[in-house]
Amino acid sequence: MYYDLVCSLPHLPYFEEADRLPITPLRLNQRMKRLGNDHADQLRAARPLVQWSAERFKDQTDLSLDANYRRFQQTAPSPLLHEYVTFRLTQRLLLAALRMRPLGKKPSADYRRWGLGSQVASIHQHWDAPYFQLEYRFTWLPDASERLAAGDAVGLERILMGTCWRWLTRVSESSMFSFESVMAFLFKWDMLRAWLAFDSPKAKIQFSALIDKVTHVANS
Amino acid sequence: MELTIITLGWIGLYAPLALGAVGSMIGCLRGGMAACGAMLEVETGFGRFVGVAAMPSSQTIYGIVVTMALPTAISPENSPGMFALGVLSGIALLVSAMSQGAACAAAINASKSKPEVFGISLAPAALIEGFAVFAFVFALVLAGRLP
Repeated sequence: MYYDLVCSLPHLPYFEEADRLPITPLRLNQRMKRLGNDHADQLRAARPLVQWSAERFKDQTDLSLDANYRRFQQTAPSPLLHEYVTFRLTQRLLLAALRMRPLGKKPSADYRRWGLGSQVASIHQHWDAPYFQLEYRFTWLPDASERLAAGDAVGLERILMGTCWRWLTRVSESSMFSFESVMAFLFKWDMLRAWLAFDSPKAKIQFSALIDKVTHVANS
Repeated sequence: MELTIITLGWIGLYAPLALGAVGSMIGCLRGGMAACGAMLEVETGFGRFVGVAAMPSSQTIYGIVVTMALPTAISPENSPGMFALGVLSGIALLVSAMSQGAACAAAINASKSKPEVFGISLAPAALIEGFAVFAFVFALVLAGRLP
């Protein structure tokens, strides 16, 4: 149990309501040093698989993702961490499939070579169904598909992040001082950081407006 | 056979104190760790966090009082009763102290980000204390009925 670590972490506001990161990366790394070695290894291996920032597209290929996934599995992750990583990979897999289909592309015959997770075979089998017959299992899928078709990238990201955020909140509330709670914080922090980085010029304008507002109040 | 029964009596005599103390140690550890973590995040109010972390220590005091209330002369007649009373009240004190430590840690975690909920966040810990007091008081009452 991580009573001290969990209590040393600040409250994370919902990603859409946050205007800044409540803890800096440097300080977060310092706090995370309290994690046990095996837990730290699990998170180190899981983070590249579930990251949100646009950098993931620069550094990862299908092969490197597969290698990262294998490395992650070798760390014997906790069941909830494994479940989250699988969930996030399935989310990415479904989006990739939704993007491929309008382009007229089809997955290769050997379905094990183009995806990870338990849904690969199902997607392959129901390629022509609107939501691969997975809309009841992944209730966010129809909404995400609609946003994708409309080219609403922000709306799509909002749905995906909202789904993951709620999942992680449920985990942290069910076991407040456990490793899973630390894991939920870290992944939510990653999500928040990626969300805040989406539009930095706009954020700077908003920040300036806030400063103007505050100084105006102070002067009047 | 008689020796075994007498041994159970001695176990019952010391159980409330020993189990209460173990519970207090674990409870204070949980609360204390939470308090130390919260101190990194806040600028003031360290004292009240430490105060909350010490709440589970009361179970040791209850354990001492129950041990003192049990008959000092251990005989084959009173040993089974002492064993039942001592061990069960000790388990109640142990579990209540451990649970109270977790409740205190949760209170510290909540009030660290939102100081205005400090008082109300302690309500679960106070409720647990209430259950420990029930176990303590009725152990005293029943100790008076032992032969």
